[in-house]
Amino acid sequence: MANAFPDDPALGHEKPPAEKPLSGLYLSEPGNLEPAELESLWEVFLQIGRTWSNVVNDSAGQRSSWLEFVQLRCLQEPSYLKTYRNALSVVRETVDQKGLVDAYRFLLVNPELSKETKEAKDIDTALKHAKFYVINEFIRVQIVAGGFRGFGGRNHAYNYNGFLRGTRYNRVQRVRTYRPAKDGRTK
Amino acid sequence: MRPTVKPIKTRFLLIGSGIAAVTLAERLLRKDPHTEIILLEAGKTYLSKDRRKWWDYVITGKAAYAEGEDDPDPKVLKRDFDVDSNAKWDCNNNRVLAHGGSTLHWGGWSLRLKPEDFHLFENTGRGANWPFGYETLNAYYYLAEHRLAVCGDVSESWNHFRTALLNPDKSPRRAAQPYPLPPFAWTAADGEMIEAFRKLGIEPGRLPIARYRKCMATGTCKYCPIGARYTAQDALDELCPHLLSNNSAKPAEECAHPYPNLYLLTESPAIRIVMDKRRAIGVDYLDAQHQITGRIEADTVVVCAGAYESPKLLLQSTSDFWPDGVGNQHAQVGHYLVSHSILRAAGETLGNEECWIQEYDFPTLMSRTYDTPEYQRHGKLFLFKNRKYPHLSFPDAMIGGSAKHRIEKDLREKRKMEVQAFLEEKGKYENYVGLGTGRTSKLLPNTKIVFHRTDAETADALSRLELLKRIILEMKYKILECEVDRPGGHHATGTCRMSVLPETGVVDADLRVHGADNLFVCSNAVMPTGAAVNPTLTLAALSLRLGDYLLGQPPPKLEELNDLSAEVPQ
Ligand SMILES: Cc1cc2nc3c(=O)[nH]c(=O)nc-3n(C[C@H](O)[C@H](O)[C@H](O)COP(=O)(O)OP(=O)(O)OC[C@H]3O[C@@H](n4cnc5c(N)ncnc54)[C@H](O)[C@@H]3O)c2cc1C
Ligand code: SF4
Repeated sequence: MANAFPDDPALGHEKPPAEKPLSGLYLSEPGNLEPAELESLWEVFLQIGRTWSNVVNDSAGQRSSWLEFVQLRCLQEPSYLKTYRNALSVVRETVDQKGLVDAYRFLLVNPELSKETKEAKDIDTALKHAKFYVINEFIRVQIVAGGFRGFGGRNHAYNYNGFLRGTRYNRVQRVRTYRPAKDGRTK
Repeated sequence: MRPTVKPIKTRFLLIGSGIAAVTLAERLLRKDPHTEIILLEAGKTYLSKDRRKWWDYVITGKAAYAEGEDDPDPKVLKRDFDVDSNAKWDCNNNRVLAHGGSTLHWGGWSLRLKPEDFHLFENTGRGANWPFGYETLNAYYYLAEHRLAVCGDVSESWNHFRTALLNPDKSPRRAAQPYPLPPFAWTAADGEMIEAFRKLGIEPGRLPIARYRKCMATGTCKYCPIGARYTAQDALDELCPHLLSNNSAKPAEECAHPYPNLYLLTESPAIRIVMDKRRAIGVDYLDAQHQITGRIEADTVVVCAGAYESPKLLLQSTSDFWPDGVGNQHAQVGHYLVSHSILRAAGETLGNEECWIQEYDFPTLMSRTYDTPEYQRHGKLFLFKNRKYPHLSFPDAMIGGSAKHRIEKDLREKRKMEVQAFLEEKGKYENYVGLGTGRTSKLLPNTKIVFHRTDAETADALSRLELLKRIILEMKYKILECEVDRPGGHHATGTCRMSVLPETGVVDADLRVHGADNLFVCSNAVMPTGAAVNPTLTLAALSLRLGDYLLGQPPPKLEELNDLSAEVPQ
């Protein structure tokens, strides 16, 4: 396998989760989720931050990015409307069966389920569909919307691929920059 | 295919809509906004700056215009490209066939060639000279840097005006040529390599990179959500051409059309340049959407179709007068294919207490210390840090089911760094791009590629690899990998090279096809050498220069160029 070309600005290290990730969506016409459905879906997103403790204020800072993401995915082709509804019923059933805490442990930090949902071609059940197309995507959104800062303690990164820093040009420090220390070590 | 729609007439017909065509069009329109120009583009329109498409890219890694790239399926790639190469020439991801061309996926690295690059043959007895020297492009480089809004650093010795004054042959810049924008700072993760560079006498520099609008550092530059990275699509759309045919959802009529005679025709590959002996009359094209062929007649035809398709179009355009293709009377078209050898050395160290990860998705550290005349004989090197490292993908770890403490442990456990380099190569007649048999799904002829490295070239590349290894070892890292990567067409040059004599090239110093009156090529293909750095800034400079030539305008004098900062888009 050839390496990516050096000046190819591909998300070099974020390898695509699957070859054809959108191919297996449940097809539906674009449309809006009901407000109650949206809030139930937000609950799924919240659980990511609660599980990994990598965001502050119970994900409040990520809400606008997440909302934009979900709305664009519902309103534009290919629409995720049915995919999200499937995920909601999967989550509901899992919570009914296992209770809230164990349900999310099962859905989020479950290496077995992760192994079974590596690629689109692995997706053959409603559960795997929800994990692959909804939960995994939400995890990516959560990280680029600021969740990356929750790793590394006080040495956390200032920036991450996909994070829109919201400042102008090069005047504001957007990444941890090189500052040679007196002892010759890099700070 | 049925024939045909009515011929359309124009003054300038530009084949392609990449940076070459768009920069040329901008220059032609500058003098007279009413200038008649048609850009004929084989590919489709893939929307830029679309938020849904951006999120799709963030989530899946697949950019909106991926369909415009050559199909990466190995079976299809093998069908579309007939490759004969002892170096395993890589055809994947070499270009984008689309409205806006390959800048849709370029990195924006924007470096000038250096004075010695124009005299490669003179200095080494191999490769070729340019038919003019650095001075001819100097003012155009300055204009191009402003057009692309390059963020760079003039304090580096190879840029510094003192070098230019004391030793003009060593500097690619002259006094009074600041970059339009300040450089991006080195990241903390660059630190160890900067220090290793210094200990080895390698001057660290900041990568000059084209950042056209306010860059928010999202690092998803392959699909920028806000159009901060220059793409020829955005630049062309700002000129607001009339769209003759397209699949774009962009409402063309919303434009005010400040250039009333500027047209873009997409999904319409040119199949033949129609010649009346030495004169180009126009171009025949396929209208893929409507399954017809068409003809556009023009006073001047400029082939801006990239380093693969430009020679192929000349070769396809046979006639009694040009039995082997236009400009191919000395069997030069397609020959002297030059690539960059890519060298890499990666190392690893235990521990990453600083929790460094690469925070931009473009490199900030580079060096031109080995990009000097002394290194020309065995190949100059342009060094840069691989922007990917150090890295840990948090989403991948979470999706894989890792708990937080596990991810934290992995983050602190070790780190990897890699130094990379482009190695200059010299054009050889045997290395060639030509016509394959059959057509691709995008209706372009299949491509034949012959590319071989000699034993001496391989030995040069391997010896240069030692320089990279020293850097990794100086950092006290354990060497993990060290290799000369596969060559490919990303930076291909030479295939319609400039020459003084028609016997040794395809176009003259003005980019006119030898033996033709009004047919030009504007592409990396015309560059006789690829030097050690990325080609596109030089291509933009050549396009501006061609624009002036076609309008009979004298070249700008550097000292007369006022402060151009007003022209940098904000
Ligand atoms: C992954 C990658 C990263 C890169 N990064 C950098 C970088 O950081 N810095 C740098 O300097 N360079 C970079 N390059 C190189 C850069 O992309 C090219 O130098 C530049 O885009 C070439 O511009 P062009 O206008 O000549 O060709 P293109 O942009 O390729 O445009 C040619 C156009 O012509 C059209 N066409 C072809 N044949 C026909 C036909 N028969 N009829 C009609 N239309 C036709 C094509 O569809 C295409 O749109 C990179 C290249 C790659 C592949
Ligand atoms: S880093 Fe800048 S240029 Fe790249 S995608 Fe982000 S905003 Fe665009």
